Amino acid sequence: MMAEIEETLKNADRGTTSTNLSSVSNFDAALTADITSISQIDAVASILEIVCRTAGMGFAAVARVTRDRWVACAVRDEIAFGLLPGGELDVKTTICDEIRDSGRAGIIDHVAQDEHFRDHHTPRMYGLQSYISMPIILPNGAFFGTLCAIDPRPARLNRPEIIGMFKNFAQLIAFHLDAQARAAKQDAALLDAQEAAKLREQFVTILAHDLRNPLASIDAGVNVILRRKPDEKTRSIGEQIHKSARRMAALIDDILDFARGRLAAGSCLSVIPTRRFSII
Amino acid sequence: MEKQRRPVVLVVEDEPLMLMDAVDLVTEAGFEAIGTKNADEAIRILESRADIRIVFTDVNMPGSMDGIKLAHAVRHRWPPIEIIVTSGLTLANVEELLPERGVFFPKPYTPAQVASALHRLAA
Repeated sequence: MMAEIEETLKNADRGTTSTNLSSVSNFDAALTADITSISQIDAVASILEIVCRTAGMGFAAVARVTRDRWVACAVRDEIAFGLLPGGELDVKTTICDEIRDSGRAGIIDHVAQDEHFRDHHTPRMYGLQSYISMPIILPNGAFFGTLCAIDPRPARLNRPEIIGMFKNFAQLIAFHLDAQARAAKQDAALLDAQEAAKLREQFVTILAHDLRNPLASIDAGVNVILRRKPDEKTRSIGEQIHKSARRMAALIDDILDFARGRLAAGSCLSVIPTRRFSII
Repeated sequence: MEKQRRPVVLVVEDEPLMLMDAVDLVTEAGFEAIGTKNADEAIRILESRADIRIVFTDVNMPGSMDGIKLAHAVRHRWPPIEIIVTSGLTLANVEELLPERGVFFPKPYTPAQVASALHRLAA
């Protein structure tokens, strides 16, 4: 029996060209990310173990199923089925393909006695007699893949407690995947915000520095005029320009002190943003 | 009796108003000031006349050299000439950037600062 399974697996593998997950296409990168996501859910190993024990199945997996790919993300293999995480089956040889299209669970207690599946290519190809596959539907309604189990012997799977267990675990996995995706999105948004705040502060610092030069020129120009013994009116205008220039220089110093203080403090984003804007 | 000639100071500053102001300060301090707006022109003037006693230069300027490079070029080609460097930027370890006997003071500078530095170096 095992030899048969191995043989059919080899045949199945022959149909697929890419089991190498470091392959360059974006699609493969997305699949690799999906496998990583599943591997980061600690509960998955326990789920697969419980599924195998409770349902009496020898092989269980969380699979990512797309229109044309079937990739094992996590695997529990007690029957030397031979599939490892990242391993791929030709999706057309699997029943998961049909699960994907229907969005409903697929359950076979005993292939030999099942009218529909007796002559189906999948059980024959993989040498299995019992089969259960539960769709993993993400909260946004997208189909991720399946939580599935197989065994070369028949099993009593068509019971509410087994179906309920698979359904709950599939939901739990979907929930974890969604939470992970949202956490990653929030991390990215936070990084963007921190980067923007840092750039803004660098900009303010450079701007303040650059404002000093033309201001110094204005001040110097007034000096030159006042030294040339101007009439009283011109002198008074010059003094006023001096005063304004000094006031502006003080404001620039304030901005620089403030920016330096914030940069030195490590660009903490949420402390007192309103004060910064009021100074600018 | 012939009146003693005033020492000549070459002022290098790219901002026209700053240059006028600096030339005024140098003149008021009792020196003859020659103003120029970049280091390349400064080098040409140094090559054309032998009476320059002090170079007083800004740091940030357009052209092939900034004030620091100019200071080194002067120290290398005209060793007796004294050098004053000034800048509005806060430069870390500025003394290490300057050639031997180079003097630095930050902008804005006061007339008294300029006068005392010039007199000390010309002495």
